[in-house]
Amino acid sequence: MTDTIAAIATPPATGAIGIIRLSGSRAREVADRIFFPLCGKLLSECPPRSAQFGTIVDFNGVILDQALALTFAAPKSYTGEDSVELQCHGGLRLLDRVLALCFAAGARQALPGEFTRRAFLNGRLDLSAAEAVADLIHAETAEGVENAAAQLSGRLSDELSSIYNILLDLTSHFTAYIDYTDEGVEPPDLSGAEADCRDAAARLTRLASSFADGRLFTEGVRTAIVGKPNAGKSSLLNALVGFERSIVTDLAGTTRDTVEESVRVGSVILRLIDTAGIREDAETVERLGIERTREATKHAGLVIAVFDASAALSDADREVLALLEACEAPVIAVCNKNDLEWRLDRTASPLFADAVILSAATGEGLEDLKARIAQTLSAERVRHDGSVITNRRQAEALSRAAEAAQNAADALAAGFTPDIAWVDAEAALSAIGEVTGQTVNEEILDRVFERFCVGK
Amino acid sequence: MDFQAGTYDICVIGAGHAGIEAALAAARLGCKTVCFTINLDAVGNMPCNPAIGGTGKSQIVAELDALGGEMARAADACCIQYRTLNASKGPAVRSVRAQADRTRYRVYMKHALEKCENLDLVQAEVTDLVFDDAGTLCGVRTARGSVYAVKAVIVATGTFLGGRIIIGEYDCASGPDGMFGAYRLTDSLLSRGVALRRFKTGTPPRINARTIDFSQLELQPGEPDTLPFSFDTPAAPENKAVCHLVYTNEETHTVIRENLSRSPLFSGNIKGTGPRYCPSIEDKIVRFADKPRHQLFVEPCGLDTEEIYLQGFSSSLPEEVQLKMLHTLPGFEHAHTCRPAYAIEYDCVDPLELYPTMEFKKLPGLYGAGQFNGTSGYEEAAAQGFVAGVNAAHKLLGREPFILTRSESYIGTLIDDLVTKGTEEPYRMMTSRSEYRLSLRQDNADRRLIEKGYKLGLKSAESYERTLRKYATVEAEMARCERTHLAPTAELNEYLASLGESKVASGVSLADLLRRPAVGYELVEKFDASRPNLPPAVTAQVVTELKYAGYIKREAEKIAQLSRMDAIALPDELDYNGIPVLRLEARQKLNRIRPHSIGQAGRISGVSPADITALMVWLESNGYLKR
Repeated sequence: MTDTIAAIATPPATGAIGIIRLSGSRAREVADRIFFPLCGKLLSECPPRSAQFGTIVDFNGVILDQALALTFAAPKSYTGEDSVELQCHGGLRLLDRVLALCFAAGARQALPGEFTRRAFLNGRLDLSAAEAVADLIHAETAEGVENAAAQLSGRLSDELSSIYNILLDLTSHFTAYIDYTDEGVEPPDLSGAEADCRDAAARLTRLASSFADGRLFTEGVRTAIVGKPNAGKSSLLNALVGFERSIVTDLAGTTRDTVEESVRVGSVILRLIDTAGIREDAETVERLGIERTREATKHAGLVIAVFDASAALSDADREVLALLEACEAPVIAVCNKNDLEWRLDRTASPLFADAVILSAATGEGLEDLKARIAQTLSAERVRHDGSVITNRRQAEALSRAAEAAQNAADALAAGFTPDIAWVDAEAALSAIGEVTGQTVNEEILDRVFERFCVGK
Repeated sequence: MDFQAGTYDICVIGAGHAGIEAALAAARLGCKTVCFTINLDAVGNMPCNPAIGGTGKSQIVAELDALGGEMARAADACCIQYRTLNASKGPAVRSVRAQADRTRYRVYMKHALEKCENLDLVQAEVTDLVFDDAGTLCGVRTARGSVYAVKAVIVATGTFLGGRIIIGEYDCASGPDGMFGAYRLTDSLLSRGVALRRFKTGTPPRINARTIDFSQLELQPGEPDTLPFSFDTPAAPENKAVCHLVYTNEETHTVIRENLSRSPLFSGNIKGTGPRYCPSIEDKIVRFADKPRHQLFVEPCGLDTEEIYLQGFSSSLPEEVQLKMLHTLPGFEHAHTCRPAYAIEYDCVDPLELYPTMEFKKLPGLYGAGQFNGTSGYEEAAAQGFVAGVNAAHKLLGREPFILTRSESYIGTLIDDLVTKGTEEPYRMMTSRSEYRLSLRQDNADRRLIEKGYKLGLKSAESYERTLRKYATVEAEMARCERTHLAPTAELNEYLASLGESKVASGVSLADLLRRPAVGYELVEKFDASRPNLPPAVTAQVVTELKYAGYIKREAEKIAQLSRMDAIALPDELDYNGIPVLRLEARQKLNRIRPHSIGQAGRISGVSPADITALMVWLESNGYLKR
């Protein structure tokens, strides 16, 4: 009996196909909850080592993707355990959603090298590749886990150490109270401890879910290009794309309602959301209302607002400007069609004061836009680095910490003896310790002796 | 002049709590064993607290009993007051602590050694380890020049080795409790490259009870119905003595503050590292200056003596200051001190030098146990002595090493901590040291370990079968509680309300009722006339296993994962420096600690999960691992 692990098996870049791998005793059971073969049977009822086409559906009944599922029965799999591979359409965001669904269905995030380790434990390792695999794991870890603690900075670190300290105080009080019984240590206030654990769980959950924001920087920034019809969004986009000639992939998916293109601009990847109408002609653009634009800016990490410099400010422009005022993401205003005669009143909005002036048609000013994007995002990166989790393993460790803190609170609320909450609070600390690199047991003892006069 | 005094398989140096278990285990396994003590009347002495058990420690004693050690039986025969600690704090942390009659305990243990076949007990100071021309350990030499030919040596020297006692400005080479220390063995160990370090501990004064006014003290009687330490002891132990409580006051603290300059701890005369959990009274007053009083326990040292142990009053201040301090305590105005408090420094090793078998990595045939390995406490010492004795015997008998895991025992946790993480202060067991404390309880130590004890040959078939029957009964009663339902009578609901539990509206199983936090087996006794008549040791486990089932299961899953890693042995001869896929820090740590399994390697600080995977892959591809 092994627990079931899941991870994205393909490299963290957008490709035509992305594979999620599940391994463990319950791999097929987990897959049955989220993958529905076209043939109508459950995946676990289909013969192993056959490919099944079907749909991935979340718990609300929303179809996420159409995918191919391959099942492998122990011991004939990479890991030697029951395994399932889900071959999805490549987008990173989609893969993350499917992976999250796997977790919700009972799998957990695989640790670094865990698939390989299991393969090894089950005698399934391909010896000829063994050294190479070891090197790979090592290289991956050198950048990942080893530096994980160093990646923490600013507000994230402050927030984590604040939670850690609350749990450390609580745990060391329980430790002193229990391990130094008879020594006059005041009993911990259990309702206060419950509230602390609940609060810690909520804060840890918040941090873990900030991973979604953190990904903006590691896996691309969602960028909305907005503007009234005919402002030149499409031509700007084409100019950008053509300029870099670096489209990563085209992700028009049958089950998704947005169109994304990924474009590398300098060191960052922009994931362009369709309001520019990459595939849409001018007439369909006309039909896209301001609502669609509002929706796009809401989820964007960067907004590029395009205005037609050759026309006077219109009502449609004013609607866009009003929208931008409420927008949380950084906004870059672009005055397009600089090759034509200027008619735009640049005093109409403060946004115009430092607008990038360019011509998508001639390519003039595109370099300026590129520089502005890099500059805006690097400022943004500084803001975000301190407050979001960018590493998936850290996010997973913090989720576990949150769960353990929640368990501690629940055990206290249910009236269980304090030993249970003590064990759970300690587990929460250990999980945080995986992120911060702290050796929890020693620190608990240090605090016990620092705060409590125990020992005889 | 040297003379050949005898030939033995195993030599144990020291007959304290570690030496006793080592010698008995080795001899009982059939090895011809000699055990040396500096003073025959100090076998199994308790130079500090006259007590056995405590949090995390009674678990060790029960485990030793399940494996076939002696301590639990001796404690049950010689203890005079029992209490259950943490009764209300949960089954994971419940422990028994008992006051021992230290004289009777010594007599019991000396007699146990004397009666044991294959075992000779000798009063002598071992001064040298003897090696043959090939550098193999082959004997020991005593101060009187007797040479014993032996194949393995277990060093269990406690605080005797290089012992130095400090009382204020007084400073004297001495073992504990007025015994001679052992000094020449230190040189012999050093000459063989064993790195020694200095640890320190301390003990409070002993007072004549006749001179204490007990009417001013708070009574602390023993408790009925505590668990005995040994699973072979049929009945709850009897309380024959009481303890008392007393508190320090401002006046005490003033005396101490005024004389701090005379404390060797503050003047720097003591250099050894002391345990943080055994602070001296002066240390407590300095570090917790705003605490108005400190609790002291007044504990009898036995039934045939007036000596009182004043727990919490450990000190290394000069004798005259100690007396002044003592006389400030209520009821102690005219107290007479029979033995003053003292600090003691001694030689010990860094346990990272040892394998989990307790054998020295660099000196095959040499083992360490107890305080010599950097621990503190009689129970911790006994556990290591037992493991060292079994392993020394197993090696000579050509059997597999005997290594307990963290997930099955506190003993395994103790030894794994010592040989994997090392220790910078005398190591003491506590429940917080075990990540599996919901499963590692005193009450189920027999279930966890008796099969091992039986297979070792140290536990009788009768004990083993009795244990199997006991747990069959536990299982049967749990199943019965699942199937037996109670009707939602007014009487039942009234009882539930009295416990603060919500009422039931329909029929409910006994098991579901027992899963509620406030419900105990009393409910079954009250409402289920059909119940079988079961001993408390069984019903307590039924309740714990039902109530904590979810938590215990979660722990079991964690254990199952880790035990796979613990099962993969690492070759002894490996040079980790030659493994290019490991990071430099990991190579250094692995070479130093030389873990016996992949599981242990993963617990070394500075060795990452990726290092472990890389290591496993490398070992496999280079043909080191056989499956």
